[in-house]
Amino acid sequence: MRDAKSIDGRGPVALSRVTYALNLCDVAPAKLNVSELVASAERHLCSQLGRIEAGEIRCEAFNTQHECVESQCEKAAEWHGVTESQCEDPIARRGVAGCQCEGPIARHSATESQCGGAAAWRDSVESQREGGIARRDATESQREDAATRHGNNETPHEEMDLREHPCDRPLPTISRIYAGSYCCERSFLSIPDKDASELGLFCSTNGIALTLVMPSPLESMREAVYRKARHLIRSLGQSLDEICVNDIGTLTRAIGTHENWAITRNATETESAPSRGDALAEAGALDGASASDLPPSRRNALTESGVPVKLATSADIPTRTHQTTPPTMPELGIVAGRLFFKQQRDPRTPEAIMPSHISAASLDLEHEVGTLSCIETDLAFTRLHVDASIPKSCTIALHYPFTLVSRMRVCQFAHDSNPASPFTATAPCHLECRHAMMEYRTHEGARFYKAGKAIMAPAGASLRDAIRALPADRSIRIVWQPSFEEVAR
Amino acid sequence: MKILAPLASLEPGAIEARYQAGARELYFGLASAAWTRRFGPYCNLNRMSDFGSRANTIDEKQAADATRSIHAAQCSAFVTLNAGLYEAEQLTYLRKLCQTLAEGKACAGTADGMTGGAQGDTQRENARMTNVAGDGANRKDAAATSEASAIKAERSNGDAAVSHKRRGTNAPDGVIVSTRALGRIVAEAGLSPVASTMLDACNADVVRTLRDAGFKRIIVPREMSLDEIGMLTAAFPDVEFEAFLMRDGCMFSDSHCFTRHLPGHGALCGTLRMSERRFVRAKDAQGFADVHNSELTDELYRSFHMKRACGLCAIYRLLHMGIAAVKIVGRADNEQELLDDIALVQRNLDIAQTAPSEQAYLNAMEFPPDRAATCKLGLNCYYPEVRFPL
Repeated sequence: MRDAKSIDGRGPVALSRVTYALNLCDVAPAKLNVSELVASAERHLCSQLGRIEAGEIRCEAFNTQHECVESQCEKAAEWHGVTESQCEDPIARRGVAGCQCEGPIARHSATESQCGGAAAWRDSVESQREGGIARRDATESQREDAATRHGNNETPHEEMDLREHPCDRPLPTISRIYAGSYCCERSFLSIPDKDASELGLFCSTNGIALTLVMPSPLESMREAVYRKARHLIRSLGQSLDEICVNDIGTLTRAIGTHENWAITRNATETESAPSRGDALAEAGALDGASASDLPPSRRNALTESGVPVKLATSADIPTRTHQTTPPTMPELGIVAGRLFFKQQRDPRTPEAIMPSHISAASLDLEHEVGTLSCIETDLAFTRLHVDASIPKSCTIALHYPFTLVSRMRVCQFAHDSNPASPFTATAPCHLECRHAMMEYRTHEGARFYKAGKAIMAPAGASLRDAIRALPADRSIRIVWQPSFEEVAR
Repeated sequence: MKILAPLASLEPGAIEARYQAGARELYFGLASAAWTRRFGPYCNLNRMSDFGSRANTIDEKQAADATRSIHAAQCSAFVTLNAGLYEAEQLTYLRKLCQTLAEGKACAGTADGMTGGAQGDTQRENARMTNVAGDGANRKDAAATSEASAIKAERSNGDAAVSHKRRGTNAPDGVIVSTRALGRIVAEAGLSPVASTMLDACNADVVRTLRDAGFKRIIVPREMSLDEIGMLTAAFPDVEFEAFLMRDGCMFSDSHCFTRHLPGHGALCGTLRMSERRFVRAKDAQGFADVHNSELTDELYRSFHMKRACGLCAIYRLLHMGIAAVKIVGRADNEQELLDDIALVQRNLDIAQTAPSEQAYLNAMEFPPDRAATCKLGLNCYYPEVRFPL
C-alpha cells in the first residue's frame, strides 16, 4: 500500500475553500436515516481533519478508532461544537453549543472534540426537531458556487487564540448529497421517485444541495436511463442543482439539451405527453446557437472560457423555453464525473503514481470544459495541478476515503439469486449489491473492495494530506463515501 | 468481415503465418525509448506498455517497415496508441509521431485510408445497406447472399486490390486511439483514426459524438450484447464497427480500469482471483440461501469467468449485421495458440458465410479444442446470449 508520505502535501489549501458532500450513490435512501448518515459523515470528516500529527498539539484522549470521539478538557471541561451528546445526566439527544460532562463519558456523537488545553474546533449550532429528524441550523454553511460562509458564529476558545493554532479551520459540514449511480444502470433505474422526493424534502429542509449522478448506459438501457433522469430531476426538487455525467455521450446530450433539463424541472406535463424538451432531446440537432441564447449562469461560464458552445436546437421548437417560462428552480450545473478522470491508480504500485494534471486534454474534453461546474477526481496523484484551460469557476471534487480503481464489465452480485444464469452485463438483478460486498487482500497486502460493479481501494493518504495535494487556488469539494456497513440494510 | 489479429514482433514468418491462418488485418503497438526517456517508465504509450517487450517490440523507426511488410502480405496494418490518457505534452509528441507514421506513405492511399479491396468494399457496403433497408425476414437472406458474394469477391479479388492500392505505401491503414483529441491529431496527419474500447462506445450517443469527431471505425466494448451491437450498426451505417471475438477476456471494463500490469504484479483482475477474500453482508443477507448462492457465484466467477474468452458462436450474427472486423486479442500471448485461434475463427467464418441460417451455423460450427472448460454456462462467452438466452 502506498506510503502516505509519498503524497505531496505541501499545498496550503485554505479549508474555508473546501466544501463537503455525502455520497449516497447505489444505496436505498428509503431504508436509511439520512440525517444519521450526514452526522456520521461529519464526524468522520472531523476525525480525519482533526488527526493530529507530530509537531502539533496532541490530544491525549483522542481515539479515532472508536465511533465516538471522546476527549477530556482539563482546563475548562467545556465542549465546543458538539452536535449531540449523551451525558450521565438525563440529557437526551440535543444540539448544544457546549455542555459540561462530569464523570465517565459514555458514547458520544460529537463532531468535534476539544483537546487538552487547545480549542481545536469552531462552534456550530444544531437543533433537533421533534420526530427525530435532525435539522441543520448551522451558523455557517458552505456553498460550492460561492465557497463562502453564512452567519458565522464562531466563538474562539477563551483560553487560546485560534488564529495561531494549527487546527484553525472550519467545522466540516455536509452541504451536498450525491444520489444516483456511477457504475450501474440498474441501480440508477431502481431509485423510486417517492424516495427521491423524500430525499429532496430532507435536503430542502436542511439547506443541503443535491447532485444527481448518472451512469454511462449501455445502449439497451440508454433511453430508460434518460427517462429516469427526467423523473428524478422532478422528484428531487429544488435542492437539485447539478447533474454528474460519466461519459461523453451523456455529457454532449446534457450540454446540448441543457435547457431541456430546466424544461423538465418546470414542466407539468405527464410522462405520457412528450415534452418539448423530449422533442429537443430526440431531435439531437446541433445547429449552432449564440451565447446570448443561454441562461445567464451558463453564459458566464462561456465568457470565462471564451469558447463557443454549440447547443442543440430544433426547428420544431422555435421558442426558447427559458425566455417564455421563467425558471422556478435553479439551473442545473454539469459535473464531469469521476469516470472522466483517467489517471492510473493502482495501490499495488504506488511508485507509478505521479503528479497529475487536470486539463481539457487529460479529460479528453474540448469546448465542453467551459460548461462544467465541477470536475471530479479520485486520489490518483501525488499532487494535482489544474490547467488554465479549466475555468476558475469550476470546482475540483475529490472522492474520499475510497478510490475507484476499476469497474467490472459484468456484475457478479447480479447473479447471486441464480448462479447458473448467464453472466451478461444486462442481466436483471434484485440489487443484491446492496446487501453484500466483497473484501480482498492481495499477497502484496493491498486491500480492495468489490461493491456492485465498482472496484474500490482505500485512499492511500490521509484526508489532510489529500486536501493539501489539491490546488490551493480552486474551490475544493470532498465527496465522502460512507462505509458499506453504514448503508447496508 | 475480416479477422484482426495482433502482431507483437517482426519475427521472420510471423506476418505470413497470420495471413495463412486467415488474418487480413494486423495491429501492433510501438515501443519507444524516446517516449520513455521523455515521460518516464510509468507513462504508457499504449495500453500494453506495461507488458514491455512481450507486447511491444516494434519501435517508431520500424513502424514503416512493419507496415510495408504487412501490406506485402496482403493485410491491412493498424497501430495502437490507446493508453488511458494523454496529457497535452504527450499529445504534442504524438502529433510528430503520427506525422512520421503518415510519411510512410509513398503514394496517396484511399480516401479514408482504410482497408483496401475496393470491389469487396463496395459489395459489402451494398450488402450492409440492404441489410439496413430491408425487412427482418427477407433482410437476412438477401444480406446473406450479398454478403457472401462480397466476401468471396474480396478474398479472391480483394487481396489483389489491397496489393494494388498499398504497393509502395508504408503508412498504416488506421491508428487505434483512446481519446478524441488524439483522433483529431491522427486525422490531421492524414491517417484514419479508429476508436478504441477505451473511448467506451457503449451507446448511440457516444457513437454519434465519436462519429462527429471524425471516427469512421469504432471498436465496441466487450460487454455489449449482440442486440446492442446490432442497434448501433443499424443506426450508424456510415460507421464501421469492430467487435471482440477471441482470447484475453478481461473482467474489467477497458475504459474504466485504472490499474496497471507492471512486472511483478500482473493484472489486478487476475490477482483478485487468487486473493484472500471475504464477504461483507448486510444483516438481511445472511440466511443459508443467500450465503450459499453468493459463494457459488463467486466460485464460478473466480474460477471460470473470462479465463478463456470466446465468441465463436456469434460469428454468424456478427457477419450478418455487417461488422467490419472481429478482433482476436493477445499481443503478449503464446504465438502458436494465437495462430491456432486465428485459423479456428477463419474456419468458422467460412461455415457462417455459407450457412443458410444461424441455427445451421451453430450446428455446423467448430468448437474450441478445450470446449469442456471453455463453454461452461457461458462463463467464457463474449456473447453468451447465443447459447444461453436469458
